[in-house]
Amino acid sequence: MLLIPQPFARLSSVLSEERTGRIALTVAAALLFAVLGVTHGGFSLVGAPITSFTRSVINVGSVLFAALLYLAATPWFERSGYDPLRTLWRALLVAAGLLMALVVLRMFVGEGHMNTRTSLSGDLPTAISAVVIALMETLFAVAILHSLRPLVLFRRTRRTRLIWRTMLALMGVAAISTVLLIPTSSSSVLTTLLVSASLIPMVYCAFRLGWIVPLSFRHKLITMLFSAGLAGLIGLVMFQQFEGLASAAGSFSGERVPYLYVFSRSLGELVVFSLAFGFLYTLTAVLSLLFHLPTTQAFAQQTSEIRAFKALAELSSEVLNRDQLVETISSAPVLSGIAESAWLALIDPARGSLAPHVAAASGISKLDAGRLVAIDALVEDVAHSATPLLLGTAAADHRVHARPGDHIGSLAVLPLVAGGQSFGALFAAKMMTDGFEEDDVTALATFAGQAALALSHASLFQVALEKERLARELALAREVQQRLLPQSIPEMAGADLAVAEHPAHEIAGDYYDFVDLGEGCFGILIADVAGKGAAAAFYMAQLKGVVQSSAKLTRAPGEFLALANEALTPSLARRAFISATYGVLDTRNGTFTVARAGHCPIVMARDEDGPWLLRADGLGIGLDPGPLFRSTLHEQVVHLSPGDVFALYTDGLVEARNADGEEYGYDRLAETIQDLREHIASDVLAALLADQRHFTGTNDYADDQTVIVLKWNGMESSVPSLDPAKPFTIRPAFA
Amino acid sequence: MSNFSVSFRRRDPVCILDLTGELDAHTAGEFEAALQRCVTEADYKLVVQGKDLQYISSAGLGVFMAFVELLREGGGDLKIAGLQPRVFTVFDLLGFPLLFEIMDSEDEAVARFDSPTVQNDG
Repeated sequence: MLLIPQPFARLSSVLSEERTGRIALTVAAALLFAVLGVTHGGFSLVGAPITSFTRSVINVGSVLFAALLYLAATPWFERSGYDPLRTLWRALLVAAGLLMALVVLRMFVGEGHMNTRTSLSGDLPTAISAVVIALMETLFAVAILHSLRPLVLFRRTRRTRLIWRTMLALMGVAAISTVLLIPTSSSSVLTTLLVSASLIPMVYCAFRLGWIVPLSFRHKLITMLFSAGLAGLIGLVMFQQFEGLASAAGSFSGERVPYLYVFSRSLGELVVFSLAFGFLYTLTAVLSLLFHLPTTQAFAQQTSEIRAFKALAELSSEVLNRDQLVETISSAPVLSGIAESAWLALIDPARGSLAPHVAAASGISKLDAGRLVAIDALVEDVAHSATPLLLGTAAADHRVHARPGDHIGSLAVLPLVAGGQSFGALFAAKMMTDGFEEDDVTALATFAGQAALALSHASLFQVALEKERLARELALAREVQQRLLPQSIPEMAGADLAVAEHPAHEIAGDYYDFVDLGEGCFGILIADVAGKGAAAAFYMAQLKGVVQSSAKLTRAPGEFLALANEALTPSLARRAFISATYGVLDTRNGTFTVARAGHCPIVMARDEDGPWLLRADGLGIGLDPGPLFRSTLHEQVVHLSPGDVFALYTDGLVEARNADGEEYGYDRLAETIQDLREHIASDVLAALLADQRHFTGTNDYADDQTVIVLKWNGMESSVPSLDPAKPFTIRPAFA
Repeated sequence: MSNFSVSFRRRDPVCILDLTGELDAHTAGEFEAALQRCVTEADYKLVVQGKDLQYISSAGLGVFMAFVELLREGGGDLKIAGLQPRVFTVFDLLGFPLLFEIMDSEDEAVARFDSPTVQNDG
C-alpha cells in the first residue's frame, strides 16, 4: 500500500510542473468525469440493476477522478504561496459558497428520487443533481486538502511530505475498498483496517501546527476565528453526508437523497475522509491557537528582536560607508518583512539645509516617498516627541498625501535620535490600513534607535576624518608660515638679539623680520595682522613681500611703513588692518630709529631713567589709504647707550590674563624689563616669559605672542638727544 | 561661552548700542550682526556705549572699521563713548581717535550729532 504514493509523487512532479501536463491532467479529469456522469445518467434512466463490476469501475473511476483533480489543482494552489490568513479565509469562502450552492440546489430541484433497488438516481433531475453535487463536493474536498496542505507542510521535511502523501493514498484506497468486495463481510474488516491506518497519518498531520507560533496576536485571533468557522462549515457539509453514510449502512429512510453516495459510494467516502481530516485539522488548529494566544506577546517580542538584531549586526559594519549605511537602514524593515516599503529622511546640515530629505528608500522610489508624505512635518513631529508615530489609516492624516493606489495604507514614523541629536526619521509603510502590530512598531523603534546610533557614529567618523584632513592642512600652512619668518638672526655689531614666538593656533597673525640694510644698518620689524587664520596668513605673506621689495629702499622707518601702508591698504579687507613697529638700528652712529603703525609701544630700559614706552603717533596699516597715515606718523630716534634693553612684542604678551582676568599689562612688562636689563638678551627673554607664565599660571597662550629682545652693547650714541631729559627725539616722519 | 552682548537703545535720532563683556574674534560676529541690523533699518546715527566693555581685540576693532564708511555714506556716523581706560588704550594705540569721535560720555557723543557743523577733532 505504501508503495502507491511513489508513482503518484512522480506523476505529480512530472505532470504538474509543466503547463501542458497541468492542462492534460485537467482535460483527463474532465473527460473522466464526463464519462462517469453520462454513465450514471444512463444507468439511472434505464433503472436496471448494474453488476458489481460496473459499480466497482464507476467507484474506482470516481476516486481516480478525484486524484486527477487534486493533481491538476496542485500548481494553482502552490502559486498562491503560503499565508495562513489568506489560505483559511479562502477555504472559508469556498466552504460557505458550497453550502449555499447545496441549499440553493435543494430549493430548485426539490425532493429527488432514489432507486432503492439500484441505489442510483430514480429520475433525470436527481441524476443531474447527483452529478453536479458530486462535482462540487469533490472540488470542495480537493480545495480543503490543498488549503491545509501548505499549513501541514510548513517547514516541511521529507518525512512530512511522505506522510501527507501516504495519508492521501490510504484515504483513496480505503474509499475504494468500501465497495470493491461488497457485500462480503470481509470488506468491512478491510475497510476498518484501512480507515484505521489512514487515521495515523491524519492525526500526525493534524498536529502539524508549527505555522501558528510566529503569528502575531491579532493574526492568531483572526486565524482562530477562520479555523473555527471552517471547522463549523466542514462539519455542516459532513453532517448532510451522514444521510449518505446511513444509506450505505442500509438504514436510508428515503427522506433525502444522498446524492454523492448515489453517484459513487467510494467518492462519498473519500470526500467524507477529506472533510474529516479538514474538520480534525481546523479543530486542532483552533485549540492550539487558543493555547498559544497568551504566549504571543513574549514570542512576538523575541522574534522582532531577533529580526531587529539581525539588521543591526549589518549596521555596525557599515559605519564607515555612509551611503551604504543609509541604504541598509532603509531596506532593513522591508527585508525583515515588517514593512512593505521604507525610507529614510535625514536632516543633513552639510547639504546646506535643515529640511529633511529622503536619503534612501526601499520598496518605493525616493521621489514618491518625498511626494506622498509631508516629510518635514512628520520628522519634526517625531523629533520633537522622540516617540514613534503610528498612523493606522495613513490617508486620514493631513500630512500624508497618498491616495489608495499609492501603497501607503498605514505608516510608522520612527525618530532617529542618538546622543540628543536628531538625525531625521525612518518611515515604514504598509499597503493595508492598520498594517502594523504593536510589536512591529517596537521592533522598528529598536531598530531605529540603533540606526540613529550608527548614523551618529558615521557622522562622528566623518567629522574625525575632516578634522584630520584640516589638521594636516593646518600643519602644512604652519610649516609654510614658519618659512616666512627669519630662519636666523643676522649678526649686528654691538647688538644682542633674542626672539620667541608662540602661536596660539596653527596659523598665527604675528610676523617679525630682520633686514640687513647695508652699511651697518639693520631693519627690525614686528607686526600683528588683525584676526587669525587663513586670511591673516595671506596678509602676512603679503607683508613679507613688501618687506623684501621695499625695506632696502629706505633707512627711514616712517618711509618704509608709509610704503607698506600704501602697498597693502588696497588689498586689505575693510575690516582688516596690520599693526607694526619698524626700527632701524644704525650700528655706526648708535641710533635706533623707530616708527609705530598702531602697534604696541616698545619698552626701553636704561640704567638711571627707568623704563620708557616708545609710542610715537602712528595709524595702523590699512586704516587710511595714505595722506592721514603719513601726516600722523612720527619717528622716534633713540640715542643709544651701552646696556640699553628694548622689548618689541605683540599684544599677546601684554594681554595675557591670569585666572582673575587681570592682564599682564604694560606696567608689569616695563618693570620686568627694567629689572632684567643687566642680563644678556636671551636671558632677559627667558626670564620675561617665565614671569609671564608665573603671572598667568599657565603654559598655554590664548593669543599669538611674539617677543624680540634687543640689547645694545655697542658705542654711546654719537648723535646727541635734542631733549636732555629724554633718551630719544620725536619728529614727524614726513615733515 | 560668549560673555559679550549688544543691546539697542533709542535716543532719537541716535541709536545707542550698549556693549557688555569682551569683544573678540569669537564675539565679533554678534556685534557685526547688530551693526548690520542698524544699517538694514537705515539707522545710520549710532553711538557705541562702551562703559561695560571689558576687552576688545583687533577683530573687534575690525568691525568698527567695516561699518564706519557705510554709516557715513548714509549720512550718519559711529561715535564711541564711555570707554574704560584699558580698552581706550587699544583704540588709541591703533590711532582710532583719528578716525572715530571717541567721547568720555554718551551725552557728549549724542550731542555731536545735533551740531552738524562740528568736525571730528579726536
